[in-house]
Amino acid sequence: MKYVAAMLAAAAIGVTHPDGARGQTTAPKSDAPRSAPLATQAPRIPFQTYKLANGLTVILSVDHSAPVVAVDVEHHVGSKNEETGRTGFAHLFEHVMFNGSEHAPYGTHDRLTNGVGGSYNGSTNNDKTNFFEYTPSNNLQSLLWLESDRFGFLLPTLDATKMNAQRDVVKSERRQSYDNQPFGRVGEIIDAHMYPEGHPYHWPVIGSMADLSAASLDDVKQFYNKWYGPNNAVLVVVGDFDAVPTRAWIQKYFGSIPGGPAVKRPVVAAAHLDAPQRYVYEDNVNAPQLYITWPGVGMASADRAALGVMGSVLSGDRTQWLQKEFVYDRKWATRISVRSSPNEGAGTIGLVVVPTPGVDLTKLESAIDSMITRFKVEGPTVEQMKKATAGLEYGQYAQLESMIGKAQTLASGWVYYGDPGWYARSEAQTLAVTAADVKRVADKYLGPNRIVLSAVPRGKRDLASHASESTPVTSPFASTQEVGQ
Amino acid sequence: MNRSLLGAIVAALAVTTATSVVAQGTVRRTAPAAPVDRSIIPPPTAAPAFKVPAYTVDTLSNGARLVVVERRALPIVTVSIHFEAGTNALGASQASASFLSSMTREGTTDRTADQLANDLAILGTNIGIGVGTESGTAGFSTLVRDVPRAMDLMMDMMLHSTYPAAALERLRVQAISSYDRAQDNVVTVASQVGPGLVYGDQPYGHVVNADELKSVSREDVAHLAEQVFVPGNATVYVVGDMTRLQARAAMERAFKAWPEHGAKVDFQYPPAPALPATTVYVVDMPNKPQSYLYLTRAVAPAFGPEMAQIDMANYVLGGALQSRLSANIREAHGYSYGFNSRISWVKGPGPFVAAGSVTREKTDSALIEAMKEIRGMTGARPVTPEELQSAKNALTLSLPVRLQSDAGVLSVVSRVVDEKLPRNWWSDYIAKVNATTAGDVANTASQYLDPNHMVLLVVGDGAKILAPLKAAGLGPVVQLDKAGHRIP
Repeated sequence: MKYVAAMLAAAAIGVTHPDGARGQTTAPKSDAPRSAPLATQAPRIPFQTYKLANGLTVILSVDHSAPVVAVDVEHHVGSKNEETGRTGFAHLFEHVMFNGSEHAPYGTHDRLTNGVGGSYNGSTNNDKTNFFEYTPSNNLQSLLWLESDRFGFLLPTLDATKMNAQRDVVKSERRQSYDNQPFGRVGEIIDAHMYPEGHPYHWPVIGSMADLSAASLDDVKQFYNKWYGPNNAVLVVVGDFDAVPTRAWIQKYFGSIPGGPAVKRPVVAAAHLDAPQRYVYEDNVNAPQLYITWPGVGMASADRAALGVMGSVLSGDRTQWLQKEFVYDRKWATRISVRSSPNEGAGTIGLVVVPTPGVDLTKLESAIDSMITRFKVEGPTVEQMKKATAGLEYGQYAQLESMIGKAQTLASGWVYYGDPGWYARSEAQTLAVTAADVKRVADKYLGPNRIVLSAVPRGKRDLASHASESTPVTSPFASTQEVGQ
Repeated sequence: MNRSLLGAIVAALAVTTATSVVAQGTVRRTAPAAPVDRSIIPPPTAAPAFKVPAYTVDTLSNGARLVVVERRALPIVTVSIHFEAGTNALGASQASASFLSSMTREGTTDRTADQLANDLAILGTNIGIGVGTESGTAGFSTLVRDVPRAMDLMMDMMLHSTYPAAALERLRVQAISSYDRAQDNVVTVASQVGPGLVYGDQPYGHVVNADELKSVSREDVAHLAEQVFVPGNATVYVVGDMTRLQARAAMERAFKAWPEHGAKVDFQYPPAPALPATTVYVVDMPNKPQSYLYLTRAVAPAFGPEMAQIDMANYVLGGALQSRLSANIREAHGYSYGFNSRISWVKGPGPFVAAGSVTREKTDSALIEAMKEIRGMTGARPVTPEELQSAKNALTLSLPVRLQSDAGVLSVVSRVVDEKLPRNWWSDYIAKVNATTAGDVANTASQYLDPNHMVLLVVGDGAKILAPLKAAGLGPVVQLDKAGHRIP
């Protein structure tokens, strides 16, 4: 739903997405490590947490520094909770949630948020879905009323017309963000090969065109009943409010909603490849890009922090390994980046390189491999480590400036780790990463079993890295009519 | 650690211990004890008043203006220097400006490129230096204790960059390559072609092109920096954890090697050319599953007496997620993921743009609906009292929300100071918004969003969309190439 800002920015400057679109909107808080103060000085977000009788977790954080309140409702459900043949539901559902509920018809949401000087949006990723708004602080009671209405009273007014309209909007979103975007389908193609059929991360958050077409009203209602219960959600309120009346309002509006069934989460197998894979994908582009993707880790992994730092040490700025070598010294690439992307249950490590025009991808891949081999032997220097975590202390303070930012930080911690204050542990883990840790995870994860995908202009498969060994692929999720266009 | 946070933590602990926590997994469906009447929307209490944060204005010994806004809650500071000169006023090429920002990271007389990159990485915050069409900026946000270090680096980059030719050649390859890549994108092509259709040869009609990227020299870039980064043209904003005196001392120290020189550049934008009757322009990009619609015309210079009413009209039409354009094209018809509009408020008569990607097969229908909504604003569909009130609230009650962060405070204060507007400009603007009637909105839309004199640019799959667009009867259909030239 996060489209206004994106559209305006796009209209103003014309954006391209060299990485290819991945996931939807708010990706989990970047693991890119910021930097390194004494942990004891770090500021903390104060909060209180409690649970309603229906199972809804509530987190309150009072901050009177500006007359603003932020409300964030997060549901621990994302595209990974969908089933094969019914992909794209979590996100389609998110859209439906903005189109009115029993007591708050379409347009009410806009009126009670934008229409009082605030803002709102929602997002869906593989693992969670959120709905949020922030306004001047005099509107908190109506925000709680508004959020509680779609939380508990969506189905009475949900009909086929409403759902069909959002189905078309989501198909348009798919066309805009994936199908009509240079390299826009690369992410979903890589995931489809990284995770086997049936694995919850095999399909993209946006879903497949065929499944979106097949979605029935009953499917959507079942999804809601199964996953949208209070016991699978958290309500976070941050800002300029008094806790006592707020708790009473929350009890009134949310406490009266019945609890849902117990939640059974899918088992998520780690990303794993038995052998190297090599693909070539033809896209509507005029120059090629190379993607190398390794099986990585999920959020709970003990190696998550070290892999985050590894990404910075390899490509965080122009003095770091791959950027220095390929963009600045050899000038074989105009851009190169390595990033660990952990989802909740499993993750990948992705390298993207935009070659300088005319540079051969096979030669580039082999030179990148030599650098990675050297990195595994030498590891980072002390100074490289210091640069990788510089800025963390400033970031800790800067994040306190936004009420909605704090709300989302607390909510994510609860959803992913059962701990609203998890961000502080994450920062501490990042600060504790040593050069030896980074060397070890590079050796452990950047192995031979990986997916190498060359995205090339139509009709130019010969531009691929190791073209003769690369299997042609297309996206299994675009409509047949639109594949190849 | 700041004081209010510590207090809040103590309070939070106290409350938490008093809370009974229901164990997870024991929840059953239970009927509520007493039914809640949900039919009544809880009314808001009194809205927080908006007050421009207190600021001081001083003149530094090199002639630059210093504006300080103290915010002591967090130990962070934002420093931002605004220069009132851009490529338009200087008659400089936008291509020089497009390289300037990166070229200030390529080494100075004191630091090699690697040393500079190293120092920036260890500082751990971004220093942004750049020149746009209307102004230049240099600034950063950082911990208060790092301000001297950041200022030292920023001034070195701003004044002593060596702009090496070899670096320019590397950046040129990157810029041309990303320019070429962007030509696959319907949005990019529309934003390259659209402005020229409204402004012709005037400054606002110009968008940087590949030829200009190819011809810029390092001297062009260095010259632009010399012209823009002068204290006589500068306002220095310090927002955050510093007093007026501390800020002044820190800036005087940092500006020792930046003596008084330079002055403002006088430049007047010409009135926008009169547009011909509404015309549909089509740029063919074969096989695109979506078309990009880009509806545009010139509006008025920023900060004039008509600004409040134009903002009102735009908000109702397309300024919010559920405004008229989106409610129709996205929600009612599902033609698009997003369709909105905006006004670019700039020194001259900037553009109104309504835009969005739409399904190829519905290109004509979406354009017809968009025009219906714009025409509706001019009187065919009067603004309702609710729409009017929502727009007023959105434009005025949102202002206190901006004061959460240093960046928001800077945006509120700098608007008044940069443009030398009267100190009561914001309260005047708020009063004008609140006095706007439905009739004012219709008149404003007729004049500034005139649907009879508008550029309707469509970028998409010509083979599929041309015939329906011709049949739509929205105006003559003219085919253009990607550079905006007419195809006979």
